[in-house]
Amino acid sequence: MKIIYVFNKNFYAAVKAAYLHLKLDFPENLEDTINSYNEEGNFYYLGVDIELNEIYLLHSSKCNYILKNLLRGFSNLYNEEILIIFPEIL
Amino acid sequence: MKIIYSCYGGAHSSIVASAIHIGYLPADRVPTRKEILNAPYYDQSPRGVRGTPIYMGTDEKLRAVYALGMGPYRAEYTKIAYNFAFQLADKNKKDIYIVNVVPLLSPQVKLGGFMSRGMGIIKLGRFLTVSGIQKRYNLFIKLVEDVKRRC
Repeated sequence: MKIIYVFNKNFYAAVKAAYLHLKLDFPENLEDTINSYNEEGNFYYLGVDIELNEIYLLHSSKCNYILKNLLRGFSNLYNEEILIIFPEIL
Repeated sequence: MKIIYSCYGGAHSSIVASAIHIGYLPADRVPTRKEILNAPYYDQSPRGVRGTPIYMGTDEKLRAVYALGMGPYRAEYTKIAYNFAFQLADKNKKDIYIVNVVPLLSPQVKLGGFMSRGMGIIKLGRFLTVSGIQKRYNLFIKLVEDVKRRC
């Protein structure tokens, strides 16, 4: 399964959640990390968790139900099992 | 290969373009009002399903054809859709082709679509969308022919 952490403005929450998921230490230099994951619309691969799920980070300033439907729809098109997490809403 | 016609709501222009591609609507003449209204999913997409690709059929070259409403963020979501195919599904660039149909729409169709899907004034909204699409139907035919030639 592919797990996608989606963030709009709160980059910190998404990276923190993804790093916690992967049991990684939170990066010390947050600015560099922000710059490396900041391009909108890109799926940044962060690693694989203990259950072999692939973890991705996605930055989109247009987070709404259409984005959710789009990701779910494309996962069906390509037979990919995905889980979408919006840490900013939690 | 997947060909996806995208528009704002996924209820009119993308449906008509994909219906021409599959053969539900004629590619050699302007269809009647009844033919357009009888196209699958025409003026039926509820707001909550925007973003979900609607499967319209498979064409003569076995390409799967979809209609997709992307709301007001077409540029951003088109990029995400391509990146999903290339980065997550690991497909090559020839596997997916997203076609923007919005430039073909006249203000009349946009108004009709908003009235029908957004305000619930279905009868008048459908009348405006159908007559507006009929007026520019030749552009839809040219677009579909161009897409078929490129893919």
